[in-house]
Amino acid sequence: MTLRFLGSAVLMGLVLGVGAAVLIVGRLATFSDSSYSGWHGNELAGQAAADIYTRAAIARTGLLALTREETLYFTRYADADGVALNERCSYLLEGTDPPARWWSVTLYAADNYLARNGDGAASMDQTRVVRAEGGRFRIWVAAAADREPNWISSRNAGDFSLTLRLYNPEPGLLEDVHSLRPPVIRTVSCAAGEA
Amino acid sequence: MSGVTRWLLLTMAVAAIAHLGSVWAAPYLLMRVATERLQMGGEVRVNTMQQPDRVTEAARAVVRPSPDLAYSICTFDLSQGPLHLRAAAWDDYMSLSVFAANSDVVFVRNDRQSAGAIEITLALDGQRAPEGREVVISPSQTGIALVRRLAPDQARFNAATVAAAGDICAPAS
Repeated sequence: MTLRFLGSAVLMGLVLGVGAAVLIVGRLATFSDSSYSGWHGNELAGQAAADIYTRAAIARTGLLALTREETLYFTRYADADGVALNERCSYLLEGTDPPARWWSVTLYAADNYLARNGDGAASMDQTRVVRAEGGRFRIWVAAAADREPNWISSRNAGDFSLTLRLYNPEPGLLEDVHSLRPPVIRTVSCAAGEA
Repeated sequence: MSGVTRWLLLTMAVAAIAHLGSVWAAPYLLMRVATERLQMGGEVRVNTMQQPDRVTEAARAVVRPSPDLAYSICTFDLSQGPLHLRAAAWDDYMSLSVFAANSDVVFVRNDRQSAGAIEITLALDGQRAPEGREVVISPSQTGIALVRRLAPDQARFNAATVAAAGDICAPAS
């Protein structure tokens, strides 16, 4: 075996191996990731039982996440029709209080940090949300405030995602997380010329 | 076996090892990056509880921070002995959690599970911990301890800051 033979094989192997790792961890959902009415969650977050792909993916997008008994995390990247969330469009997020001690919905830009817009309206939570009769709430997710009393700003967010946190979920929900009825997000309008 | 076959087999073997190795190492690397950011270039010492400013769009140390929580953070190193961790009492949701160097949750307890302050001694297996407090064994020498307090507005954040003055991350004695 020549040095050239060995060197080229090792180099190619490293490129392929590391490249595939970056691609899978960076772009794809993890193998144990589940969809809960379009909200993605991973019940293995934080657990020693998590596989290496789950651990890596959660470290990238949710480092220091708690285990499911303490907090359930769900993130969605698309509206109810599967179209990617983007600051060009305005959305209504509608639902009722999930079965947990406390919940919040927070908007993150594609870099997994709060959008740089100075609006101070990155989230809505159980303590601040204004509910209609019957307990339903509507949250306006858009680049500018509207008549809705609840607003999350998407200004300067580009393609964004929403993370739903459920702290101290109730035992019934933990028994079957798929029983969750999370808020629904629908596109109301988009800037002219944009889909 | 032809030269081309041998080259392909070697390439695939290296690729598989490199792939699994880098996926395995990613959480360690990301924890290390977060630790360095939290220590702000040496400004914040290890084994010290710090209270970052309220989470805004300027918060860039750890991905997906919640603007509704007040955090106290300690980057820890158990090489010099066990640590005393304390989350002072808070009148709403609060938890103390400990994360190992690979990002796994080693310990988490909230205010409903522990009346008043939450206190533990964090130690490596084999280290002698002082009596009187629950001992939690960390699988790694380094990691991050985190206190979360529900504080969704400025007034509550200010109150949480006062409470957080009672948080402790210090050598156990």
